[in-house]
Amino acid sequence: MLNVRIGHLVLRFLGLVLLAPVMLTLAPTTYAYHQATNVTWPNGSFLWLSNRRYHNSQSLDRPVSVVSGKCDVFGLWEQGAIANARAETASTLEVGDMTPGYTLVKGNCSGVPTDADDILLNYMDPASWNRAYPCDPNDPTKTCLCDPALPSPGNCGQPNGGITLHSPDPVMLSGWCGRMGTYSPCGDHVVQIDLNMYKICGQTDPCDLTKICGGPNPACVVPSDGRYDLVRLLMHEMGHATGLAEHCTDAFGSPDDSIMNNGASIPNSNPPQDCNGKKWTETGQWYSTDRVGLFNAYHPAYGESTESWNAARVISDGTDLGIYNLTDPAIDVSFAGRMFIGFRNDKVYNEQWEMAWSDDGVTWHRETHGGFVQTVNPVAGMLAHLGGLSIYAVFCCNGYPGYPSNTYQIYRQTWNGVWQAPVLEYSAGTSIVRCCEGDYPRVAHSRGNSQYAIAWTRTVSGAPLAEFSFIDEATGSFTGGVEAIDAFVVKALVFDDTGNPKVIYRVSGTGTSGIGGRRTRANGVWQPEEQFVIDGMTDPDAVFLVDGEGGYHWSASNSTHGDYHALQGGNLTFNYIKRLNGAYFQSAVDFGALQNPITGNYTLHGLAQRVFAKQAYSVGVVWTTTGTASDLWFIKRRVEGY
Amino acid sequence: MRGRKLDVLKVVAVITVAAGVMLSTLGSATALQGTVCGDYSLPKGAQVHQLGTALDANGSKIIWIEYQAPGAGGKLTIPFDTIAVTCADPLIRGIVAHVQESSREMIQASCKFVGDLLAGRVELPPGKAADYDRKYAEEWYRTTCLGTK
Repeated sequence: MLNVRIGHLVLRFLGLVLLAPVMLTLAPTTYAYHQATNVTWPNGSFLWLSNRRYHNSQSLDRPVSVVSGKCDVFGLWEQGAIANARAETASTLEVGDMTPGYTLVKGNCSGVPTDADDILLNYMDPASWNRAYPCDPNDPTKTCLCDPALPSPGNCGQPNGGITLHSPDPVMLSGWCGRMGTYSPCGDHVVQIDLNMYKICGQTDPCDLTKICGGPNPACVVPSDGRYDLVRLLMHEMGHATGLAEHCTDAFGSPDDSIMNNGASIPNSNPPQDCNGKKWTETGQWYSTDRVGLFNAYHPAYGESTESWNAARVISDGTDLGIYNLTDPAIDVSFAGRMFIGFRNDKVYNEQWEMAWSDDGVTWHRETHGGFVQTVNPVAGMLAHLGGLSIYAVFCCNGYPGYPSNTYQIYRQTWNGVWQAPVLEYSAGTSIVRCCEGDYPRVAHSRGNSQYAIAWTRTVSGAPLAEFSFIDEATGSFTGGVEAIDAFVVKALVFDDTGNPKVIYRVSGTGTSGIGGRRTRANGVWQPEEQFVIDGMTDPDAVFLVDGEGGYHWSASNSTHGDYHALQGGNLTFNYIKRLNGAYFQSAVDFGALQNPITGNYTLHGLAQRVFAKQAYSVGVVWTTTGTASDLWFIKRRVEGY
Repeated sequence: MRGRKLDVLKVVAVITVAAGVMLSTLGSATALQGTVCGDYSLPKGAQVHQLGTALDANGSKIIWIEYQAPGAGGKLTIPFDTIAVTCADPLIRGIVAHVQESSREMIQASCKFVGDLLAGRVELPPGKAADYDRKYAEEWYRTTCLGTK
């Protein structure tokens, strides 16, 4: 009977899906034509750090600080390069959500980078350059930069004006990553741009600054009048620093202009292997293809497709772990990108919530919960915040000897590398016994991780009372006072596109039919109720509502602009639904047929109610059972449009 | 497409895997765990554009060099603990030494080995001695290990 009902509902849903506007072809999410640099991800670029965060606004993103060893001499050219790179990338179509563009800023002029700096401009005199990048002047096949007519020994090293030296050192950097609020490795620190002073000074030694165009001197001209375009060189090398390789083709492989055109002339190459006609002086700006490359550097695909799911086993039942009587597992992703999955261990006395975490989604570390006692509570809220991870559980109402009657209590326990002692965050009267069943606290954070909150419902004189509190990002504790919202049972809490918290509840009906309600907190005030139709599940909040009610095996993660991703479970063959720009797409997903298949019989699942930071994943957890043994699986899928 | 073509052409450089060896010691109790430079070379006319250090799939630290060359471009990887003065190719030798400048541990290890090598307390494995540039080694040792005087 239930299957028939579900099937009917699915058909109804599909009918609505088909009626919805459908985008027949999705734009490719990665552009194959821009070759990222050959740096091995994830050891690649300082922008890695940002890559783990949602890159939506200047305030949320870390600028890229440039330190110079000779800004007293070359400062105006350096400032020109920084200003140009920013202006030619900010708010452009190709950089998508990276609206600030390439956020270069001028750092100190000591030539000594600090924790806060990312790029070092290392000006090398001819002797240093020639020692580091030598060239044999007697080898006619090599394009040495030698000029015996000049008074000094001349530079006979590599002919480049600059060479970018990436120096990621995961061991050395582990402390730095921690200070940046993320885990190691987290990218280059610092990228050193070696600059050949002999070359950039128009092949003069000592440097004749008049041989450099632009900056304090008359502007550069095209074709070159023989003076060196230092601004263009710095822009090119800073492109390398952010992860771009030499490049000069369009989407179809045809020659195209690019700041990443290195202007190199490869002698004796047939066919000629210069980069789009060696257009160095002609291409002194960021072009479309460069901006696409910048976007891709910030959005590495790791070989993953937005059309496929990945899965990995997180934990399995064992002698000290039993999840056969588990209720909804929880999942969240921290600001730094660490993934957490929460579950209840039924083999521990009185049951305890435990947690496993992973930085790569493949290797998982189980953290037993210590002294936190969790009983009679079917579910707990789990929230990753800047300070770590907190689990919020309700204790109430004669559920366990020694606990006060008719009291609704919310305890928090935080893991910041080790579990901290439980903390009572909230206590108030409630008028029903076992008040917490189905009314566990809902927790959420905003997409930029700038806000964290919790909402719950207790019963007062027989009527529900929805309440709300913000959560401190560092400690996980309640902050700002508890706010009473209204008489309804909170089933979901999310932050909307504008960063306002929103609670979702049922007004009427059951299952996937009826009317839902939502209240949004804007400008510090809870706004009037808005109602929405649950039928058809075309309103994202309907999915959150049904998910929160634990019904019909729905789960969802919100992305932005009303987009969302949902899974409807069923014996490992899921119905995957995504809504992008108002258009719906749905497809069947067989988690038992993935490259690393999930095994066992589907029991429950959940999705993180947000995308995974800037990398934009929908991440989730699937619980399967085979006989009396259970497994928890991590699932993820890249999200389009980021 | 150009990008794919470069991928295919990536491994043109002559790469011989360097052997991690316990360098033989003559008349001394000291021994250095290091890597004698393999037979690395870049194609004729190669131009270096980017380089850096990273961890390989085995978690070992490496130096990578990205270059362009007639008919081939690509990336050459070298163990980070390579003793620079044992590299035959001057460009690779210079780059390895340059990249290691910020590693005090590597400089100390190289100074120890090169000092022993110049003093005859250690010798290079068979076949490597012919590529050894003693003049470069002396100069490198003087400027790096003894300081400028």
